[in-house]
Amino acid sequence: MKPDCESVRDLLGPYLDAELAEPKRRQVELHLKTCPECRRELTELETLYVLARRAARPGVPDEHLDHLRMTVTRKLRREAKIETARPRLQSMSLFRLATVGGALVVMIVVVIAGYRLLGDRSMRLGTLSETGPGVSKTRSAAEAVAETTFTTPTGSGRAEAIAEAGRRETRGKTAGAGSHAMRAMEDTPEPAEFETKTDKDPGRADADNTGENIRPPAPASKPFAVTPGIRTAQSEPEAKLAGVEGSSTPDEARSHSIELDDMSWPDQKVFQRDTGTVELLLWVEPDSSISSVRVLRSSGSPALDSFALFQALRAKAVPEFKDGRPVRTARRVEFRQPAAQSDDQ
Amino acid sequence: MLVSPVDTTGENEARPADLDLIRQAKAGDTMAFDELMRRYIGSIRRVAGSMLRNDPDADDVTQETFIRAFRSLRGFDERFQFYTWLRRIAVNLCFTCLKKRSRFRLVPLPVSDGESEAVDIEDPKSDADTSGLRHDIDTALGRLPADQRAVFVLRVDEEMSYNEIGEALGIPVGTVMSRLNRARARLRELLKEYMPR
Repeated sequence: MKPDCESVRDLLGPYLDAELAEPKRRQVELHLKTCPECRRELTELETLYVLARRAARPGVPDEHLDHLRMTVTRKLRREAKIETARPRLQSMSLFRLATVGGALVVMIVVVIAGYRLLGDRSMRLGTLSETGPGVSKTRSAAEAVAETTFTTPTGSGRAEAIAEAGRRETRGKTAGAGSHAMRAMEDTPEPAEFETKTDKDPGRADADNTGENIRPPAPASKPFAVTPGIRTAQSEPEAKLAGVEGSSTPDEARSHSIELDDMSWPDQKVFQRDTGTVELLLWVEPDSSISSVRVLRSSGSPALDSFALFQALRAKAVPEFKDGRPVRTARRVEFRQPAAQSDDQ
Repeated sequence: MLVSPVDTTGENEARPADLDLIRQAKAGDTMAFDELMRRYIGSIRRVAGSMLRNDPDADDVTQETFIRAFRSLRGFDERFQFYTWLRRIAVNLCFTCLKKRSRFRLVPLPVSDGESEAVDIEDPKSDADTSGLRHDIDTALGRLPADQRAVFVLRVDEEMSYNEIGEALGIPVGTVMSRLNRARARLRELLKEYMPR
């Protein structure tokens, strides 16, 4: 290497990018004429640019761009409608606001006064009939039930009756809630048999080669089976977090993950405390979505493993291309906590 | 005359009409904004696609770019190129997206781990077409830090000058140069099998 190679090599990039001013550009050109090593360096840089340009993303069809544009326009129009509704309220004159406010205050005063007047009348009636029904204005429903069920004029008996009625009321409510929950459970469809439905010959979906009707791949017995002793999203709550519970098709799995987007991680503190690396196997659909995730190597922390699964299902990845078309692809990824920059590799 | 300091997009002829549309859009005319979108959505989608190498993410960023642009249109300085401003929003959104993604790192699949029969992945090297190359380039770019990746993509794919990149990313030209140098060195290392012997 020649003595001035070092300084010239720093300039080769800007030279290739046509960003060098004249004196330096001339200096680089003179050096290149006499230095084969720097020429090879420049050729490598040129090759890198050519490769990168050849691998540029294919253009997006106009129809797709129209779809994107129309989606944005619809959203903006909805926002604009909301915005136009707000100034209408703001533009109300102070006088009108004062008038409306005043009218409201008058109405409230009238209602309160009327209520008090009626209350006084009933109190007077109550005094006349002494222990007649409707004496207490603040009776609860339980008291009312007690009074109709147990006619016990004495103080202690009445208290007992109220307590018993209260217990009944509580029991009734609990039973009602329970039966409601049961109904809800009955209404809930049976969880789809993810294992059996997804346990198809992986080649089958490829045989379709349509990018549609692809079942998420999964081994026969355990959708998330890994090395024994490693806890994965097999348990119900974690499977739920992973967005796979009850999912029989990739579309359903995706819809679960969309719901999960709005969900905050339930055990954030535990997750933040744990560190390590989880190795996952992702199945990337042709549309870049992740249809299935499996833990290949646990971090040792179930919370971190679950969080990795949770995040992976929400992620997107580049699928492989076969005959110029994206195909379903398996990818092995590492999920690390704490987050490390990708330049540390 | 309104001149942008980074006005090299070659779209000057459309500029007066852009201004009219921008002013109408500032007044809440979504149709005018729709026309602006029609003009630039392809370019913004290309920038997002180049930076993110992922179509769904690029679509999301493209839509979000225009939504944010519309919301902050009142603050747009009319002395500057609308496209330059849009692109800056898009690049920033791409950065955010890349940072979110940085938790995941691709590692090579094992030759056989008992599941290999279910893994139908062809070796990109055996397929000399562009898709294999794209895969390798995407993987190599994925290994770059977001800031280096951004300058490289904007330079090579978008053919932006150092000034334009600095403007778009809000960094000095010297930083653009140093990041580009690091990005090139790392990519040459990662793609050395493609380099001439």
